Amino acid sequence: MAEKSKKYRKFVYNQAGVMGWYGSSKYNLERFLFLLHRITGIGLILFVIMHILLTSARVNYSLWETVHSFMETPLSHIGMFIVVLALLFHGLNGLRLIINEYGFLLGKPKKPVYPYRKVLKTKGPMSLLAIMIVIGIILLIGIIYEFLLVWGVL
Amino acid sequence: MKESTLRLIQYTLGIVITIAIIFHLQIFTSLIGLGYVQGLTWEAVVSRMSNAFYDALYAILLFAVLTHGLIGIRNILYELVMDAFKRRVITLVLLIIFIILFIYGLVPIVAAGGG
Repeated sequence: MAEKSKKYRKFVYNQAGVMGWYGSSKYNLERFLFLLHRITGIGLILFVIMHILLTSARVNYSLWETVHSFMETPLSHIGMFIVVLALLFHGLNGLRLIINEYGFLLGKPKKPVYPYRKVLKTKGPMSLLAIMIVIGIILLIGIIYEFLLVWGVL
Repeated sequence: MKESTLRLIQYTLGIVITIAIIFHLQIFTSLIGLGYVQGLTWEAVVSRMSNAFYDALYAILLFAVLTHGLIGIRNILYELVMDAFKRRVITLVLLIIFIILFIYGLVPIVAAGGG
């Protein structure tokens, strides 16, 4: 009982740390998107720091050629592909969050009577998510096309 | 600064980054730009560096991405750390990281702008 109470308190005071992002009994689509948004966000800021350090070499020809030869390796191409996918997800999900959090497409307010309305189960936010998925798929096709060209498949 | 103001900045910069990143990535798309391979050649890089539009774009992108990203990291760390003093240290450290990276990233842009 005491152990259970301790665990509960950890979650209530948000002291579960990073594991608190995963450890939820109510694991729904919204939570999955939240988790993925955070993971891609952390990955992207680490990439941005590396990107700033590497691209600063563009002031000098020989330095740039060293960086360029590194960027032409297959490992670098795969890394860049993952970064672009993360960017695509983070950007589209971020726009969805901004639109929803400003109150657009949320529909009419409803009294908080149990069973509560799940936001993503309502028409507006679900349509917005569907639009973002469609845009994501179209852009994904373009990204895959570009990388197939880079890898010499097309 | 109020947390609500920071959130507003976070959202606004998110939109700014989305617009700026479209201009940045279209260069590396074969359908509407140079393509990934051609866009990274020294000639293409020099050509962009001598273009005032790209200098401005990169300066905006540098500021927006660093601010947006570091506010995001701050939000995550604030959730994990409850102590007020530790939170102030986190903000200060992230601010120092921002200043260092912003200056480091701005130097090549300014150097390019100067010719």
